[in-house]
Amino acid sequence: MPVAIALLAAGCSGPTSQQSVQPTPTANRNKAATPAVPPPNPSVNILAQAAKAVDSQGNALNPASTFSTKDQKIYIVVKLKNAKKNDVVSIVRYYKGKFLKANSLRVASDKLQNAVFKFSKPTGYPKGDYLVKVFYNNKALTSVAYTVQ
Amino acid sequence: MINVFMNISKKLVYTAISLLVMGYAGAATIAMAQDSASASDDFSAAVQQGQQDLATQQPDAVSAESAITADETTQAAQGDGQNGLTEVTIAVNQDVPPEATPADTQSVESSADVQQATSNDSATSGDNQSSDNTTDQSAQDQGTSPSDSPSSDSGVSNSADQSSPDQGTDASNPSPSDSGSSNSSGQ
Repeated sequence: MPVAIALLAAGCSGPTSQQSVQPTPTANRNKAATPAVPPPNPSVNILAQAAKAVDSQGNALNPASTFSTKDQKIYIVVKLKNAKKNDVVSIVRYYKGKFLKANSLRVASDKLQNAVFKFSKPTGYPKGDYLVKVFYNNKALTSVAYTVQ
Repeated sequence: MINVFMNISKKLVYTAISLLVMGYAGAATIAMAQDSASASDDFSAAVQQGQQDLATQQPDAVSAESAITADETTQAAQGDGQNGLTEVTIAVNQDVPPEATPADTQSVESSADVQQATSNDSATSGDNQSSDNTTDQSAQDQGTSPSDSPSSDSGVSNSADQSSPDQGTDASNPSPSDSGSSNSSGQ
């Protein structure tokens, strides 16, 4: 029985160890200064969508989870409620589970409803599964996945 | 006899539980090793972890990243639901927030013609010029692709691309401080 309990404890601790991130020398490649991260905004409400187009207000038109290799533009729309000026919306894109790129914008107005990240590639995007994790004030709040096929 | 049977049954149950737990722990370890997307719920840590993965572990991931981001242009916009979209900066770890003003309002599609708009704006529209400059000065992409150079970002906005210092493994990036007030050189 003690063996079982020990193994059970070891098994439960596995996933939580993913949270620990060790400092690495590659961090020095961040040449730009790191801004002061705003404090958490517990009232913010976020919904992330992928789309081929947005309207003039930044709303996703026909949100999609599947794109073609011929699609040259992909929008990631982060719909916000209760955003605050100077909060930071960030996204990290992954392709087949591997890091692609990260981008951020700083909220310019308390009225912000849509934060739109647009990615354009004249040659289209490679087939595969993409994941976009959305962070608000440095903390992951949601994600959106889509496939290019 | 009954006691012997009970002892054997208990041992069998313990063994089964142990095997199940060991399988769970092993699966968790494999998952940790495979997917950098689950690395962190903290943005800065996620970026660092991702860059580390690209730089040190996964050549195939590096090539995939290069293939995707080589000629990619990134932009961002903010919409308040009333005045349309305001083009803002794609930036990571930026110091100066892009302040949106009503005069800066424009649609994403029209801003897709930034190259043309920018060259005309210098003579015709102070508002748009100001908007473009704000975007260009602080635009920073953070990636690790050597080929994601400013010269390759010739898609939507030449002016933005020219002043966008990529952060990553590009050792030849000559100017981390190329965020000056002029974004139109080279056009």
